[in-house]
Amino acid sequence: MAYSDKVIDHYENPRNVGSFDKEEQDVGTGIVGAPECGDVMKLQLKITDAGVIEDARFKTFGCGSAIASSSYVTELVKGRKVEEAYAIKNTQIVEDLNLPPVKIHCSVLAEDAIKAAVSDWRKRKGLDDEDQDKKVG
Amino acid sequence: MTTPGSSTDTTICSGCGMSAAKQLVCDGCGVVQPLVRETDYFTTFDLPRNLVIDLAELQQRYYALSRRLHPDLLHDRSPAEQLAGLRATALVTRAYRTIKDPVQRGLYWLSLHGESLGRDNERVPPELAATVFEVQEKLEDLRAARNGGTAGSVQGEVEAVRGDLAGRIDDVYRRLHENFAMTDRNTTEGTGHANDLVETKAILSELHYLKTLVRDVDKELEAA
Repeated sequence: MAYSDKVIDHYENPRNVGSFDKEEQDVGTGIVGAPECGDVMKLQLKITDAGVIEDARFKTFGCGSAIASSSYVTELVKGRKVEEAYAIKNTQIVEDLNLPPVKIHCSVLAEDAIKAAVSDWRKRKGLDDEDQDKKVG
Repeated sequence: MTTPGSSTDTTICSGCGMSAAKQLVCDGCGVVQPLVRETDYFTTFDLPRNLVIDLAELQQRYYALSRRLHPDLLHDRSPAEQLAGLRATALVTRAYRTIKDPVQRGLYWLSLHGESLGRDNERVPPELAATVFEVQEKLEDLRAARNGGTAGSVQGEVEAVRGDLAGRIDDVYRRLHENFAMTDRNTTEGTGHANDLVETKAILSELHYLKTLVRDVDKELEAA
């Protein structure tokens, strides 16, 4: 299968691998999985009181595309406001990484991970999560 | 005698003209009937479309049908009927293997209702994803410890995890059978089983995830 240079680069040199203490108040943790392929992905976001993502970490057990997708989103979300990060769609990841059709589910996983991490942070902060995307809640 | 396969009315036996609706072999004359395309695997054994199955009954019907379709029994029939016999045997075997196993039966049930695992998946329950992640981290610890020559204690932990997962899989099977019973009940009472179908898919999905994980665990344990 032909992977884009960008996927190979993120796979061979993954950015922001690791973890934050998930008990920290300013950290949101999202763990999401794909039962079809067995992949599992953890994304953590460190978010300021002003709602800006100042840092991100990930750890993924899965295929090259899942690793590349999660590595890529850590770069994508850094410096953004949580609302912007929450609005990121998997199609953007597919386009930016030029993922083949059979690997689109990896990008869905990465999108879900962002949403799960943001939701976790909101819950910790006691912020209202009602108006968020229901499918994700 | 009509040649099997030439009949246009599939509810009439092509051998004796008796009503043999959806049967593979006519009860009246024993002529193998041309396959009806829309036959589902439950109908193949003349069973109701139910998810709870009497396995002894199913096996008995499978053996009986296989005997009646045996090539030795059909050796003096027309080439067309012998071919119909082979095709029916293939169908019966496929149908039996599919519906005797609860997981295969559940997956088949999904396909009958236009569903399949991996299609428009809802999010995995967070607790399940967290479990899978923790186990994968434990396997990573085992690999690291092994490289450092100190696998001993971590090995024991992974074996304990393996036991927990086996127990959890048993539990998921129990939930699957409960879901099957509930689906049948709602089907019979006509209350509809749309929610049951969503549940069937979620349970099968969880089972698949856990089995994949156990395979990963076993691979690491065997590498020890």
